[in-house]
Amino acid sequence: MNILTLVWRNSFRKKMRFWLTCISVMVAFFLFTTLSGVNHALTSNVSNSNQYRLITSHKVSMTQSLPINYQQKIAALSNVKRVTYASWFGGYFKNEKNQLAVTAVDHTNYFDVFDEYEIPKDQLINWQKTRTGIVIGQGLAQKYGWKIGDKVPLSSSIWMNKNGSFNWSFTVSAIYQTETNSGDSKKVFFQHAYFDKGRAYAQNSMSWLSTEIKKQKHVDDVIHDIDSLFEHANNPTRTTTEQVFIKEQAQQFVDMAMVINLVVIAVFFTLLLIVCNTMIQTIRERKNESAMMKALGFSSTRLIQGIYFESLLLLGLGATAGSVLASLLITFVRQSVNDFLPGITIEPSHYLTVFALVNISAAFCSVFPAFAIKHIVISETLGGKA
Amino acid sequence: MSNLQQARSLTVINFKSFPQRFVASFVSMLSIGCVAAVILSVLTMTEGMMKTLQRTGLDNTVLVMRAGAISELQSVMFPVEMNILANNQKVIKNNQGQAQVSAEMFVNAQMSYVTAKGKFEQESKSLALRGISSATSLFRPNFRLVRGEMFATGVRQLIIGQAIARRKPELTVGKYITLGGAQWQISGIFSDSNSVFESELWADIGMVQSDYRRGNTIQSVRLALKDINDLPALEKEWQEDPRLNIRVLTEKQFFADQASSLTRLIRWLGFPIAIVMALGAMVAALNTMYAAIASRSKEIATHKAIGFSPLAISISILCEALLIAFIGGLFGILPLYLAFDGWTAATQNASNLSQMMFNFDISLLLIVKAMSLALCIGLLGGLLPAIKAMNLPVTEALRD
Repeated sequence: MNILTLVWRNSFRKKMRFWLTCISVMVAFFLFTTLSGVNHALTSNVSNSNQYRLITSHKVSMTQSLPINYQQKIAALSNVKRVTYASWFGGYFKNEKNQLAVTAVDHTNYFDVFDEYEIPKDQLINWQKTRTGIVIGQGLAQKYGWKIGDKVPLSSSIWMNKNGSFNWSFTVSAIYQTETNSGDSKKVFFQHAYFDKGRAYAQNSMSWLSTEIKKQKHVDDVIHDIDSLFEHANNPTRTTTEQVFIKEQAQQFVDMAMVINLVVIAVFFTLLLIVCNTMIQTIRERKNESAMMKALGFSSTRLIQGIYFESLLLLGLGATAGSVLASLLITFVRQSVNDFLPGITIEPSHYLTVFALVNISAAFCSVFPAFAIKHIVISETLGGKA
Repeated sequence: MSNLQQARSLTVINFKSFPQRFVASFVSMLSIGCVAAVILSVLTMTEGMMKTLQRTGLDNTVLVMRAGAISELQSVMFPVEMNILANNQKVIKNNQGQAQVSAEMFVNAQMSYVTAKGKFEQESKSLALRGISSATSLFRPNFRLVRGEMFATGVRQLIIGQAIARRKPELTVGKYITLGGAQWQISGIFSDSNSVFESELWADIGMVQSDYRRGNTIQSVRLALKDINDLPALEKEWQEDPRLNIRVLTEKQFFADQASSLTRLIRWLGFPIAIVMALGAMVAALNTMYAAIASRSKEIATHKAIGFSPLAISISILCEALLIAFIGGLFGILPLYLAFDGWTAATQNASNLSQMMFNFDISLLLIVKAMSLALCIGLLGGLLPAIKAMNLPVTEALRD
């Protein structure tokens, strides 16, 4: 008899127990896979941020403005490659239910620094030449059916223009693409020059600067250089890496991701106990049988192998079912949660993790049974029965 | 003996032998404990945030912001607009004919201060700084100064909410904090029945306007209406007024909206996670109970043979499942309660980019809810094994 046949037959001897344990494994891996997708969505903003970019804002708060000439002052520092700036517009379309992330940006170099927005060359040039032009994300273009050339009115709750109105008119000049699932496809950018000319107050100011540095190792130096440059100015600054900045803004998301990791660890710990418990039960029930097999000439190693494969079958079956279900679920709900939790996706490497976890858990669950098998004394076990 | 009496004596027997099966039941207790802990934290957090945002003030308070603004931070308004609003007949006036109106500034500030050890500490997250006028207190019936006194106008003094003071015990009356480049002295600490305002710093509106170079613009206006039922008519009147471009809503509604967006992430992730985990725990309980009756099949068969009714036997099995669930529930609830009850937690309120403190109060009701869920899991997990025990064939079981 082949060892695999033995494993198969043994596994299904207690059908109910096998399936119940298998379902526990399935639930655990279902949670693990789904939450890994959610985790990706919660932290993608943070992990995708560029290591070469710094963000400088007013020391008091993000909502305070900085003078536009800070751009040249920072650009003159050593180890700085490019500096661009932006202002928060606080825009919405029609009413407050359609809030949009609208920013006014330096049209000359903003998209050189932020090269993750893929804009066709001709469209970019078109936008740079169109004073009232906006660059919108693919997701937004789809949502409202906006095409290049469309006239789009957007309003602000902060910025009044020189006509005394809070409604601004724009023309769609370019549509950007982002990497799929990044969830960053609903932004709007327009020319800071148009913004500055058009607004009724606060001319020659902007909300924040983004600085691209030459080499990663200069990060701390450049941060220090920028902040000390303006330390005693009317508008002192606070500079951080983009990563730190995003992390602070998305604190709730970061906290949630941490909680999720804790849950996953707790679930796995319990799962290990469940499977371990099952395997220990199994071997206790089969004590006589194992002694018999030893007497027939099966080595302990082979019996332990059998136990390992049994755990592996149990865990592997449950893990596969759980992961497949979770992937299906995620594919299914991705669209409907996109507004609220964009970028929910499972990375291929996750399945490798699952594979490794299954193997390690199976090994772990075989440890106690292995000792039990090793210590079986044939004569005692079989003799005691008589 | 009636079924009930039989069930009782069997349950007593079961519970007496239960310690032998404790280790085997441990796994399902642990999984039930995990579920109870997750559901209890989700409930406590959502309730803590909701309560903080719901205890806001009077029912007749109307909040006015710039059209399109979803938070006070996003809104800019001008004094002339406030005058138009205040002159309306539907707004409460005092004896001198002044309307009950509060113009407010809402900005956020990164705070730094010197700690007790003399270290300079910079908070990375922003706090809300509200510039208020003398009329503001009319809108806050629960406002009390618990320590110190009101800020003086014309100097950089402010009062801090009690929730901030609880999280940062270093901040006492008379201390200085730095907001941006400027030093502000803490003149008092205020309470407002644990509302969201206790997470804010309050200062004189004029001082905030000049420090933040906002000229005479304001961000939000609060009005007291004679009759809140006039709101729809008033809203219509103002929408049609070409001089105004505003959004009007009750203060209650405003904070209810914030509460729902703030707790959305926890609700949408927390409850599904808890449900799936509950399913897993139920399976574990099922497994445990099947194993328990399998190991005791002889005993159960004997009970049957000497005349205990099948119903009584199954009830006693259910009781054991409930016992497991109860202990499991305690495993989850107790550590959480002992370690975190009463803790002042902070979260980032994304709609106004500032920190909000809330109380992690684990109330009895929430404990009962979490425990009920645990018991439900036990009940469902025990049901099938109980039926199986009921149908156990006596002869076969005894022969084995």
